[in-house]
Amino acid sequence: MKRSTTKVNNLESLPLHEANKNNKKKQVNIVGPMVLLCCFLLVWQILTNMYPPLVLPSPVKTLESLLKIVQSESFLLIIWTTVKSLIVGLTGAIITGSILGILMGANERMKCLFEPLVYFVQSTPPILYMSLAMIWFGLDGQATIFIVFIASIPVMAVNVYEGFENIDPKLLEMAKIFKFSKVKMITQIIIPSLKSYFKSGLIIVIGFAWKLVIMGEVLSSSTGLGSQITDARTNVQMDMVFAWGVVVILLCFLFQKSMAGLLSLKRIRRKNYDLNNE
Amino acid sequence: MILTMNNVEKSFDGIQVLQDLSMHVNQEEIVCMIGPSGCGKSTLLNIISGLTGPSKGQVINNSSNISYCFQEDRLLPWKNVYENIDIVNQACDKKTCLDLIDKVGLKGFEGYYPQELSGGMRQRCSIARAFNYEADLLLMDEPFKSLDYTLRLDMIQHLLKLWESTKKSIVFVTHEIDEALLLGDRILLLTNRPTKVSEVFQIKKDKYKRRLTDYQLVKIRNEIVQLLQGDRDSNLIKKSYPEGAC
Repeated sequence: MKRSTTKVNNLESLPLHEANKNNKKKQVNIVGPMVLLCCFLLVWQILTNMYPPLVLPSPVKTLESLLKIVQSESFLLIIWTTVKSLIVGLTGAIITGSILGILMGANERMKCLFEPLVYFVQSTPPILYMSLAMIWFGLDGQATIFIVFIASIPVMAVNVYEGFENIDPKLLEMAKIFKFSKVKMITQIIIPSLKSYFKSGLIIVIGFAWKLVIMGEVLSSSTGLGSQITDARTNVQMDMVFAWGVVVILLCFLFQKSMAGLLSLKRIRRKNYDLNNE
Repeated sequence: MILTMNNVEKSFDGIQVLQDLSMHVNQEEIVCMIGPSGCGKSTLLNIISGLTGPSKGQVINNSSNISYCFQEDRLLPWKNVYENIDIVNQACDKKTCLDLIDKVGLKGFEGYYPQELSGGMRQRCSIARAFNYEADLLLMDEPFKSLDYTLRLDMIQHLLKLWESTKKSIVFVTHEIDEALLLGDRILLLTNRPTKVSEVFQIKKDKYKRRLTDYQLVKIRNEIVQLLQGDRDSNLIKKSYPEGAC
């Protein structure tokens, strides 16, 4: 920035940027959540005194099991199995869903064709797909991929389509006046307009798919995080069920947060347009 | 003549907006149009630019391209000042573009995005964009609408600077008499809906030497005010005594 050489004839603008800069330093308050966590653990501890450990394991016991799980050799392999299913199903869903959304947004006929289909798939409970997939694909993990894929498509498609509906018609009119070419229209106006809708769709769909993948594994698979929960339940090891639960929740949180963080990375570098610097 | 309109009519859903409107724009001329709010000025510009067609009448357009400066800035939020101006003209080299930015007083802000700028700065960016587009006719639809008085006078100077270097013909729509007096070679006064040209004023004086206190400008101003006032009064009479009761 070359504030020093700026020639501004009016005084309206400068404080605006200063204010923007100061806003960026938001303080994160962690005291509140910590207090809440302590309260939660306290209630948990009180309740464990009222019920047998077979029904409700204590926080300490759960932590012990958690440490045992994390230290075990197969821990990362188990996670990787689940994440692999998630990535395969999700990638397919994101691509298919985006294409569907784009077709629906760009073409009225396509919209009439696909809209009922998308809403049909969206209204079907995932557990129904699960029942079908277990028969179609068996119990080796493919069923999990299938439900992640099929149930995530409409979420993505609807989000991208929403983006199309919300493209500013005034910008399109501007592009028409200045005779933008078709390519320019798409790359400079349509795609940037869709970006934020695509991003929010992505974040929603990741959380959604993560829950589906666990459900799928609990019901159908002999590998991955979900199958560990099933095993623990079959053996009536409640502390293990809880411990795996904690792993699942933490991983889901981590996934969503890191994706949100990745997507909100903004161009920080301001381009320099000084002719002398070339 | 770069633009001629003969007996143009336009109606929307049975409401007649323009009626029997004729006007022309000469080369290198700034034509200002003043009219009451909602009289169909924007519709007129949309017809000239070809966004909509007239219901009746003839529009002869001799310009190769038409540029447009909108009421709102309509900048792309994901492009910075330089890119927003550069985008409308592929043949534009960096120096011309930076020169334009300098002329509208945005030097040093090339890399800023619209949301980081104030309303006035965004509007100046939009004006620079309109001038960067290869066109011999420029339509401006109340471009200074959201600005305060001193900033408007400032913007008029910026606009004149740009006009002098490009000599585009400009159709400038406004409802501020002062803007029209300072900028216009001719001022067309429009009536209330259905709109037509009711009066034409010609100002010969050099645009750079004009002061709002000049005798000629004050005289024209008074006439315009009187005509607008009369227009309003006659409308009031029509409303209170409908169907020839008076």
